Amino acid sequence: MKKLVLIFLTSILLFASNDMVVVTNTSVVEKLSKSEVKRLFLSKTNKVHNINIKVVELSENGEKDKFYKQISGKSKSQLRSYWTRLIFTGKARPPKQVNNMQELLKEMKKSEVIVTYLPKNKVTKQMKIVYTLND
Amino acid sequence: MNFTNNISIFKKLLIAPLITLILFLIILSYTFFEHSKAQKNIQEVQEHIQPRLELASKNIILFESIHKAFSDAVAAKELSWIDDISFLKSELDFNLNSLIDKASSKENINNIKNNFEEYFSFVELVSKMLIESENIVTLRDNEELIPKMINLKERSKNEFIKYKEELQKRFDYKLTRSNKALDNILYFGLFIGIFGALASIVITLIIALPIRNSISLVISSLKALAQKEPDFKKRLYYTNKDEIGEFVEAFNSFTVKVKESYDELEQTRNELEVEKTKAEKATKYKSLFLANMSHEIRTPMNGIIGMMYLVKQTNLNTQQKEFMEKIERSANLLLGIINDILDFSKIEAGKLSINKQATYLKKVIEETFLLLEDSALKKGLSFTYEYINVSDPCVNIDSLRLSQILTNLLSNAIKFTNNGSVSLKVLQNESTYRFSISDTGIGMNSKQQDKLFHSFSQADESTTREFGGTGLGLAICKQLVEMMDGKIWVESKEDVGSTFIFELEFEACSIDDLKQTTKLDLKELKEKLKKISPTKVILAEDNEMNQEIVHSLLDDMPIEILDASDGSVAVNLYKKYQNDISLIFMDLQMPIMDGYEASSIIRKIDKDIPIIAISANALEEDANRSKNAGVNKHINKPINVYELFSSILEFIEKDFEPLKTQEIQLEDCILDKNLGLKYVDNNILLYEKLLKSFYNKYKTWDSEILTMDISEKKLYIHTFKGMSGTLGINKLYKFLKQYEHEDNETNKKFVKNAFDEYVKYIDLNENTTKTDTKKILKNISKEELNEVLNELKDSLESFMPKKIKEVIEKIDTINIDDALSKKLIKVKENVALYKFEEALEVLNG
Repeated sequence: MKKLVLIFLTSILLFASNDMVVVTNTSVVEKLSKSEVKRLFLSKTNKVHNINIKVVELSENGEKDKFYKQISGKSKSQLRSYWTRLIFTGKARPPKQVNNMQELLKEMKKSEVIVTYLPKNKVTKQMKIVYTLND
Repeated sequence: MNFTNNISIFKKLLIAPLITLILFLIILSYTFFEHSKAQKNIQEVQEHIQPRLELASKNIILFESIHKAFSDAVAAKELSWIDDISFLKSELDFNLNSLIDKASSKENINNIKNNFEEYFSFVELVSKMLIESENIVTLRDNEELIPKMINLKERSKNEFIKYKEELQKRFDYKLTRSNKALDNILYFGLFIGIFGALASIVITLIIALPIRNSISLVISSLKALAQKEPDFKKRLYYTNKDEIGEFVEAFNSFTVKVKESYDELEQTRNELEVEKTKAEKATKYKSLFLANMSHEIRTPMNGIIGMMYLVKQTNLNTQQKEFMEKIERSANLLLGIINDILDFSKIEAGKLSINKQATYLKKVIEETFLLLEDSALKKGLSFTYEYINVSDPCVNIDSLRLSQILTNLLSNAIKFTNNGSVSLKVLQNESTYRFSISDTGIGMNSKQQDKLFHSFSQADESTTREFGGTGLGLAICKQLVEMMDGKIWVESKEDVGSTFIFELEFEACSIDDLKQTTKLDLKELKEKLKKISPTKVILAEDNEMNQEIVHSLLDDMPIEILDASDGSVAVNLYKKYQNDISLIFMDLQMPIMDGYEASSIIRKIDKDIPIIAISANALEEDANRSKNAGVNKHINKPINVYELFSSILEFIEKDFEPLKTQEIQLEDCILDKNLGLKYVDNNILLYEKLLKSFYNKYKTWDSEILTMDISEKKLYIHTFKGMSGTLGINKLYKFLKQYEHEDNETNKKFVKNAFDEYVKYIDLNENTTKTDTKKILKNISKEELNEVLNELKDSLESFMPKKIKEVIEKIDTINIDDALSKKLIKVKENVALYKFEEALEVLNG
């Protein structure tokens, strides 16, 4: 009984909150694990299963800090320090910033394999969810 | 190598050290050169490169720190931190400036500086921008900023690194250079060192080998010279003009010199050798001369003394008698001296030997004493002898030599003592006998005593003048004592007296040794001899008496004796009757042909015929000589019946084994009838006849021998001795034996005394025997007498001793008149001497 109640409650919460999902523009990538997502978004790799992947990020995204906190456990200042180090050492650069959805979609239309994160409600038909974040 | 031949060894020997020195200098200069190079490099590294390298390394760290500081400031979003970075920058700038000061090429560093300035201003700009921007990722919008910054950073950093590496390179290069220099020193040193050592060895060998060869050449030549017979021809050939060359030259001239002196020496040696042989010959001749002279002088001396004795028997007045006595004394003295010289030369030649025999010691001493008593008493001296602890009566000694020593010492003592006493003491201590002869004479000081026992020396010259003498007496005594393993010395004080002492070791012997020990089973022997098959023997014997003895001894035997008066007769007889003869008796000393020669002639004809020598020559030398001549056996004179019989049996009867006979020790008496009879097989008649004829033959012996030469005299004494032994005239025999052995006045005196004693003894006995033999005589008719006399004549004509004897014995039992009796006595005398023809003449005439 208790289990049932718990499943119920969570399903409500899922529907109620605006869940974040990681999406892609092709069907080349089936699904991503949490660590694959973390490595891609912290620029530690640009390949999954030998497929070159370009990570894109909506610069005006209120869920940004929340997303990174969820996948890497880093706070905002920690993330800044992380990126500064990468920048000053010249090892990697942060994901490409797009200013709005139109630009994102435009990007998505390119032949490259694009991966980004969005609130669930903003996922379009062209996008395929490869990873879902849960609170 | 020719050019080196004339370089001196010293210079050659210098080559090796010289090379070593040169190599050492090379090593030294090279080391110095390389060392300074290394030092310069190290100095440069220390002074220039190392500080710059340090600065360059520091700059790289500073540069990284600056970049990190920007990164940190951006991460921390702190603008104020940027200002702090300028502190780091100023340090880096300072370093760069100081590098510019030190560096040789300044452009390079300026370039670094400019690039750094460009980088710094750009990164400062970017950092400030990043700090100011809210979201760091918005930088993404300005695509070019960050890659440019990274580029600038990389470029600047690379330049720092490059500069540092350049310096590092130079640093390493310099260090390598230094190390290499050090290595060079090591390798070069090692190489040159080893090369030098090898070169030294090789050069030394090259130099030393010829030197060694030359030296061994010299040594071998020296060895050739050092041999017993040096080879002076050997010259050294060495053409080099170094030290060895000089040595060889000197050596060669030395060899020549040595040869010269060697030849000289050799010559001298040869000369000396000749001189030596001459001297030796002279000595030999001297000894021979001395011996001959003494002998030759002695014969006329005997003549002088004998004649003197005869002159003294004639009617002389008192003055003449006195002169004669003086002459006699001088003659005796001279004879003594000659005897001394003869003795001494005999000892010198080693011809005198010691013959030990069992002897009564006291008898020897007393006889000697008696001999000298006269002269001592004449001088009015007390003359005594004394025995202390002398317990062994019989000892093994050479009595002749002992008495000679005693005579010498005692007569010396008497000679040198004018008043007082001369005494002899004999002390026995176990087997050691000490004889001391003391006198109260002139004595000697110690100097004189030292010289005393040397030959020809007396106490001093004046002594010789006063007392006379040869000075040989004591030397002879000393030699004799030493020959008997004893010692002699003298204790003396001047004007007080002298004591001569000598010590000898004598072996004691039992009295049995002195007595007759033969055990004769004569009867058995005789019976055996009588049974042999009849045979003939030859008797070669020049002495009628010996002939008679053998004849009478073999009278009863079936043996016919053929007489031969000398060797040649014996040989002829043997040739004539060769097959009938079974044995030959051979006297060795005979006139015309002696026994040795005869024996060897007969031996050549027949190898097997037994020859038995009859001789008094007991010397081994003679025994060997006769053995070589082929004699089978020796029978010693006087003839011993037992020995004669057993010898005949031994050679005629093959299965007869002779019994060994022992030397008969003579009983000390004037006449041993038992012994004498034994020799003639107990034939009393024969014995008495022999005793008488012996007296007749030898009554004038002492004057007879004076006229004889040495060999005649020797033979005469020999026969005389043999006869006396055969007849058992023991005392006479003993002294004759002594006299034969040692022909001197003392011994002659002994013989004379013994003969006189014998004559007295015989005279006494003759009277008794004469009365005994006056038996009852038969009276017969004249016809019968004539018949008997005719029988005698016949027997005399037939030369048959056996028959003659029988007839004479027959006549002896007949009473005959005085004229016939006198005639018969003469006949008997002749018959006794085997002068049968003369006997016949007497009988007829």
